[in-house]
Amino acid sequence: MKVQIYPPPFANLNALDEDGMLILEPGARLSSVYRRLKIPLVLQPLVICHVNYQRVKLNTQLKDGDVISFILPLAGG
Amino acid sequence: MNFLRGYCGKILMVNLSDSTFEEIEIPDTIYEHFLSGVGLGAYILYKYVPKGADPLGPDNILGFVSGLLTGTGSFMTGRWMAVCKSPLTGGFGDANCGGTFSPAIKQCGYDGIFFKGQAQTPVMLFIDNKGPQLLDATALWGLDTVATEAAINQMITAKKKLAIATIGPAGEHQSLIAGISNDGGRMAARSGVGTVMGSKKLKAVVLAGSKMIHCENPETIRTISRDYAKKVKSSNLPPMVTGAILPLMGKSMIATDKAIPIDGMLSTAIMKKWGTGFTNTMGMTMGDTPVKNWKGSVVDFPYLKYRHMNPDLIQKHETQKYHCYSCVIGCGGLCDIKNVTNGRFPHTHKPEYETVAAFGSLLLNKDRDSIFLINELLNRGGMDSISAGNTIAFAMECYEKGWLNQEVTSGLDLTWGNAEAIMTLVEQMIAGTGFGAILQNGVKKASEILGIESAPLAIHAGGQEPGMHDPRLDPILGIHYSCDPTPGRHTIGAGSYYAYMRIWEDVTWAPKVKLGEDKSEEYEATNQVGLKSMVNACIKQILDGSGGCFFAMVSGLNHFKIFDYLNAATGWQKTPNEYMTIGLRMQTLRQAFNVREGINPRNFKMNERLSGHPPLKEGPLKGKSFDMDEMMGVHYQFMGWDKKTGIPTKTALEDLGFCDLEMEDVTHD
Repeated sequence: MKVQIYPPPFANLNALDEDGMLILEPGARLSSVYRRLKIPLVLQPLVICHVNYQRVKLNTQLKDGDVISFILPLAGG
Repeated sequence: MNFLRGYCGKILMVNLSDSTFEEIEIPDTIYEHFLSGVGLGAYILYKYVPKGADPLGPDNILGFVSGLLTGTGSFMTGRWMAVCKSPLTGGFGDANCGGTFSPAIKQCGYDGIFFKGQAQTPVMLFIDNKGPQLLDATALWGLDTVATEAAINQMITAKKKLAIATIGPAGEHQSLIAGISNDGGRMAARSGVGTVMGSKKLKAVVLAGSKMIHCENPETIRTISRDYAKKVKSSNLPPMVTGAILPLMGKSMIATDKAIPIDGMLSTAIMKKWGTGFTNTMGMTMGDTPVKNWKGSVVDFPYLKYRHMNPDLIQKHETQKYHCYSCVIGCGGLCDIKNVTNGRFPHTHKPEYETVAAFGSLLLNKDRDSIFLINELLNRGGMDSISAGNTIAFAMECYEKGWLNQEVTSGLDLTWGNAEAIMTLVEQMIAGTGFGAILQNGVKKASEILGIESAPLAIHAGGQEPGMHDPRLDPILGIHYSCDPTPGRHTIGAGSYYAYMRIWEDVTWAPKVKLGEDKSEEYEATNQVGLKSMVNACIKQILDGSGGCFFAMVSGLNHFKIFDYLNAATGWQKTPNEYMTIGLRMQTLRQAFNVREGINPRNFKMNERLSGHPPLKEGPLKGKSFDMDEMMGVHYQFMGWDKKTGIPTKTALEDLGFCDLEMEDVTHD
């Protein structure tokens, strides 16, 4: 299955295609996204991640087409 | 004429010279060509301001224009625009602001209220459902913006809360960097719009209408709004996330040279928590925030200094959060400042990032309390904080070089970071006294007074000082500082804004940002850069024609569905590509206004320091530079303007079509 990833800057971007899509095994959980993106363990408590614009737990099962967003601040003001 | 299309179909023209009113009907085709807001404003200015008009004379027109989507039930669309010929740049001037004033314009039955002529004595316009009237405002002249609102609320009794836009002392004595305030100190600050209001002796516009605003398909609008609000509502930061992580975020963002896909929606969580203040410290480590009149870096204003601007410390003063009309993010706040101003002012609006940077790192000032005071002084005085901060930074650099001494500065010691001197100087600028009388008209005028050798230190684009975002980090930002018909503004476009918008999902010709793209390519004047900057310019016009909020735009157009909103409000069935043509037409009209006024667009090029000439020697932007002339050329080319001159080409003008406007004066073969 394919999910859309909006990764943090320090992620392993090689896991994603040019549109930011990640291919996962059916039934994969959010924790496997963290592994594939190689989010450093020390940073994991600081990383804010939503699935389909909802905060979920790491063991949440994903489905095809899910949108997984890591927070990044915008600029302006 | 159909009045179910989100707009009212008419404007009010007030002649202040003879105290007469004229309602002017606006045909549907004008809205289809220019939308409302800044587009309708540009149409009226181009049509009715005579060529060569003195910006501070009776021929100039000042307009207050609502957005096409304002009041239709759409979210994040409550901004109003002030438009005029700018006394600061000599070209098209506009500024916009949130709060509650924008729907009030339409509730009076008008899409815009325009003023021509000049009153003999101070007046204010009052409109309720019975119609408009000019009232004597002599008693209000001299009051600050907050006191003016309070006095008007005492003077006028109405069935609903009054919406008031007013100038302070800066606008009254025609400082060229004066803005217009509403809602107790929220500012439409740029372009000298408050200066023009002062020149007309118009102290305030007071609105109390309660007419309904109709649109074509309110149910569709409600559906779009609900979907957007649901996402914003669920985007929250965990309580354990504090301002301490922001400098780390900044470092992580500068650490990669590769583009990554961004979901702007989640960033609304940051806006909800801190407002724009999150950039106070994050911008330092990523290089976005200017330091020491744009010649320094975080090395000059290190952690031990910038930590005082941690937004958590500002939040400690916050007693109340607030939202602008139709906003679901709510980045605004009121701060208790009794203890930091010795009781002089009880509260102030939460200082925006722009003000914190302009009076913090730009001046090497780490005194947070002084920034609270300056924020309130500027809001009450009605002066633009971006322009004021840049101008004081210029003076401090001149002082450092020994070009100024205390005889000239009225005894002020303008050493970098001297908070006491900065506060005094701000008060002088607002009052137009002492050394402030030299600085009150912005950095370009100050430099002209101080001598030609000071020009390289005067940071501006076409006379207007830039916002607090560094083009050496994001060169496309520099294109808009230099190429927008109202130059120097940070909200028009940038490479980062482009990535957040994801506009390529709607507009078929907009280039997609691909994962892993080399960000260093944005330092070259390529077709890709020209196309991105063109997209930025066009979509921003659509936003400003609709009354949309910048932060909604960068939360992503895949969430903030502005094209669907516009179709639902108006009943038009236009494609995003067709709306982009409208945006291009609006921007080209603003450029044509400038050309007609004799402006050479190339002269709007920003100070070379901002394009890395010379490059910074340390900090996150060390060694970064780009060729601004080349960048301007490629932007002009994609806009359909002559690549060398920036003048709209005859072909572009004919292709776009400008209804009944006379465009011969600006054509270019």
